[in-house]
Amino acid sequence: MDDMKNAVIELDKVVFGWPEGQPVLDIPVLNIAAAERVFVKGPSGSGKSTLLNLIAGIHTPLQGRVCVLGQALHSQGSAWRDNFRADHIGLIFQQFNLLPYLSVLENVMLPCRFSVARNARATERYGSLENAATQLLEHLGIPRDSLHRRGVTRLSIGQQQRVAAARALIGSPELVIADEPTSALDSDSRNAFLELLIRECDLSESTLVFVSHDSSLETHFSQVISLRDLNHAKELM
Amino acid sequence: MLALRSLYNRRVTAIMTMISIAVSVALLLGVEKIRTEAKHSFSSTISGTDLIIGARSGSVQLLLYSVFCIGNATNNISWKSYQEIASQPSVAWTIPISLGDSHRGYRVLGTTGDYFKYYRYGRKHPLAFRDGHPFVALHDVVLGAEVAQTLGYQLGQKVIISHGIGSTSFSKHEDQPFTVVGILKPTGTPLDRTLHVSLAAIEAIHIDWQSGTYIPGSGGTAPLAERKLEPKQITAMLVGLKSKLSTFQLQRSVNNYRKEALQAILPGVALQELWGMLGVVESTLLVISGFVVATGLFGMLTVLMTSLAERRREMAILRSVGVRPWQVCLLLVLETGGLTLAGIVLAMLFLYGGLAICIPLIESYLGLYLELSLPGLYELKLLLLVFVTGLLCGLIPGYTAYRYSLADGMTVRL
Repeated sequence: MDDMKNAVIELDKVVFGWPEGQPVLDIPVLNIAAAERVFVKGPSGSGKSTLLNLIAGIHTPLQGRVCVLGQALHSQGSAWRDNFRADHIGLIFQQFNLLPYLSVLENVMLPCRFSVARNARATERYGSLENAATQLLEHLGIPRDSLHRRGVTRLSIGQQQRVAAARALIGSPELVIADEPTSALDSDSRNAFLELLIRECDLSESTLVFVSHDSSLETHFSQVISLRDLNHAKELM
Repeated sequence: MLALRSLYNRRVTAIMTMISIAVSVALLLGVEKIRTEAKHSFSSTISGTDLIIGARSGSVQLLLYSVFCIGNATNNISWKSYQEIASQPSVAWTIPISLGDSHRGYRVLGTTGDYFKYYRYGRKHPLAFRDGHPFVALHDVVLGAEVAQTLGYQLGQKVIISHGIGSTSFSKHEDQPFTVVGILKPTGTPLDRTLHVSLAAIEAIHIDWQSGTYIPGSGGTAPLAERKLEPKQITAMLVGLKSKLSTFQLQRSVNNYRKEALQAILPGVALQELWGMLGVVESTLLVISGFVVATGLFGMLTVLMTSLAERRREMAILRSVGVRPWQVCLLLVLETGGLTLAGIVLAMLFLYGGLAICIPLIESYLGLYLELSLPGLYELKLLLLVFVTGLLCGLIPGYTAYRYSLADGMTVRL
């Protein structure tokens, strides 16, 4: 029972597929506990994106249960899931994470415009939203100079990914999901980025789910899940 | 807010789109403006006149040559008939009109002093003099505003009238030059392009003319001052009645006049009839400008649809921070709405800026008087229609984006 309470993500007999096709995902069971640093590895096409979309509540499974933070996502409406995602989940993508027409600071503060809860948490912890964004950026190695107010297009890819991490972390969401955020980085900045990300997740007590095909990064994580072993639908692909 | 920032990021295409919408909307408004003003100016060419009487032909033709100085009369009215009609008890005043001569392309109209007294245009405006006074002496001429302006004539200047119409007439009444004694204020009607002389003067200059040829001395040698210069014929007459009630009675009796084939028309009805004939042109213009607006909106739609593919990532990012699919749709609808609105505002600027510059030109070249008035209810309705259409156009890319964002989720790989 204790185990269940601490679980951040629980998947139970989940099957997902498009109406006209074969199921692309068939996961009998997956449990991720709170404050874990989870590495989900799998080659492209192994259903990583689908799994993330299920956890983030973009898609709902054909069968089975998806519970995040104790909430049964599969039984809720899409508007509820959109709100839930805004409040509790921070996301980092592979590349091009930022809106080109907003400044660095505005990009970081973006989730708080759509989530009252995250806005409140960020303000409570740092005094103001802008403060929160500035602090996070500094922690992640984006110095407080003119950069913060500038457009994001001048940043290097490594800097862009760190801004994206700051955006995922602002307002301390319970769950941070990173979808191959390091694939566009060289190996030095890859490790640096990971260390920063994990440190910040520790600080905000967020659970980190990190998806990548690059097993050399495994060592940074406390739990490693191979999607190939997990997904029983893989034979069909 | 986000829609604005996103638009600003694509400002070059956005501005181009906005300008294309603005130009098309300005065109629509401009056509609409000219249409209504032309109609207004047209229907106010003559007012206060109850009947126009001329030789029997078509009512539109009679209107055209008597009021608009376009085309020629098929036949004339004898002076006797004129006097008979003028002496009817129900008639308040009459204005005889005698056409057929010209001066450098401008028509010369022979009439009496009553013309300046009774002629009304627009909202029953009487004619007003900018300079001088009506004709008094035999060889006095009163110029319309445009004639004076274009030819640069001043009071006291000598004017020679040509026989027949057309600016290249070779036969001129050179023996009897006229003196400018009056210049009328602009009226925005064909009057501005007319020279006015007395009926007696028309008689006088035609004394030596026999069946269209000038034979000096053929009309006798008596000095003009001693002759009784009474016209034998006039082209048409305008009639004002004491009571409107007798309009149809007089019209009927003129149409049934036994001694001569005459026709009486109601100017208002004939104007309507004539405008009805021009109505095809009018609606064609409107339809064309409607299509231009549609083209502008289609342009906007094309630009937005093309940009959608590039913006799937933007949509995915927005989705990841909790933006709902319908909000993504709204973003695009707002964008088209904003573009259309900005286009409309810009169009108004174009239109009024353009009008402010063009009004004097249009006035002097076309004699069309445009007012720099605020858009009327009809224009506002048109603008609203454009705006709503723009918003509805936004629904198309909006819906596409909605579908994208549902299907893609947060994982678009480019």
